[in-house]
Amino acid sequence: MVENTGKTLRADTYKPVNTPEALKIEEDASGLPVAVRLKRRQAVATIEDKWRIDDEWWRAEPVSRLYYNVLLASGQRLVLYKDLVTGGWYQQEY
Amino acid sequence: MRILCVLLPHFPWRCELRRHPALAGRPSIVTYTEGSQKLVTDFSPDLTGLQPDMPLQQALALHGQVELLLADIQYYGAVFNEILDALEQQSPLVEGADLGCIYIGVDGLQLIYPDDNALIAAARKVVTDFAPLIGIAENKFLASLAARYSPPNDYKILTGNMDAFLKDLPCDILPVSVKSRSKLRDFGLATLGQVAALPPSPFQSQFGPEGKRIWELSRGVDDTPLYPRFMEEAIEESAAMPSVTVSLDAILVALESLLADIFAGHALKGRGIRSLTLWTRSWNAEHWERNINFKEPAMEVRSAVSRIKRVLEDYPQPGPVEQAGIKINGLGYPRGRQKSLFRDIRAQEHLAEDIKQLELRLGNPQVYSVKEVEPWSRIPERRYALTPTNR
Repeated sequence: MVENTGKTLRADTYKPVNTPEALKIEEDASGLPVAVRLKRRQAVATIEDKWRIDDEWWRAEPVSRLYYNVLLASGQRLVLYKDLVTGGWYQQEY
Repeated sequence: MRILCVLLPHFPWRCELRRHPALAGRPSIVTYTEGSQKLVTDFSPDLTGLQPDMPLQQALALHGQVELLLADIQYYGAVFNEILDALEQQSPLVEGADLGCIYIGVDGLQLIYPDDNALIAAARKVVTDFAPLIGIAENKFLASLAARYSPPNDYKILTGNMDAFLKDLPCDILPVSVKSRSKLRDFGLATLGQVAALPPSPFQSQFGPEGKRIWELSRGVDDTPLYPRFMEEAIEESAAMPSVTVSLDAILVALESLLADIFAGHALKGRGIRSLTLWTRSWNAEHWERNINFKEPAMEVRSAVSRIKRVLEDYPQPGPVEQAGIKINGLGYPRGRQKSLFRDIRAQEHLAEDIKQLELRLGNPQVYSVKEVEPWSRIPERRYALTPTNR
């Protein structure tokens, strides 16, 4: 349970944290990520984990995402997700 | 609340006339520079077809043979303040709404002035050189209309039902934005009577919040409160340069000696300078002004001079300077840096104060803290948010 600080969050001063960043991803025929375009193209070496979240399905813009924890060929680790509603790819810390 | 309005038409020009009596009877235009453009501030009353803020070229096309004067806003402000000071001797509720427009709260003054004639005579005495127009009504808008339509050397009092008085007045007199006035014209609404005859809701839908105000004003309703002058202690020093100069060092030396005088005098009473206004007047009568706020009150000349020097370097003078001055409009005591057993609490207080200063200077929240919003959420961006640290 989060302690109530008694302070009002105003819409104009509130800033979200960890918002997803759009990313260019190359997919294979089955829709799995094979390469990531960061500053340069980097191949995905391994998909270490994969999970799906479906939430807020009662709203006009439901959340439906397929997350991948990937290891790139360079050794860098990334958490990516495919937005199953719009089809876009994003990077986000989970 | 009964409000007396004193309008001083052609105030900047009349200030110039007060300073240069030889201007009497000579057509003249007071101008100011904005960017590369010269615009009209004011003009002598005998010139027709001119308007404040119109380009000078247009004005000269209408009146070729006129004398041009450069606006001295500092001087006009000083004269206006003198007038407000004098009027405050009659009523404590005096608002200087705009240069040349004054509102005075007159409720309760009947104990001092037996009737309106005595009250208005006292007010007129203060501004007699400025050809004042005086009116009294129940709110600021009506009082300004009463003054505007008062006969010269007389006054007008508006009471009772205003409909007949307002219905034929043009919409251009409404104190609303230029955009709204032009929109009213586009809708074919030329008089206040036409506006008042319509229901209020279409105005709100077409003009937004200002729509309600337009409709209320057209019926003589104005709930704008009177904003009496905020009494603040100000110390002002100025000096004429020994010779007209463009040297920043020379200007700085002059300002430094003014500051030294201020610190040596007793006016500060142990306080430091929290904010000041620097101004200069160049030989071609151009006015330059900059405000400086200090995070910590400046307690000595040296700490103030370093900031002043940077401002002088960053904002060039419009021409060779012949007079420089400092107006200190914010005084404050230095903040105690007392050591405490509760060091963390003190550190928090200092941090909060620093953040407040930062926001005062830059506006908007500047420092944020991460707060848990929905830490249980499966959607990562919903879990935390940044909120202003000091709220």
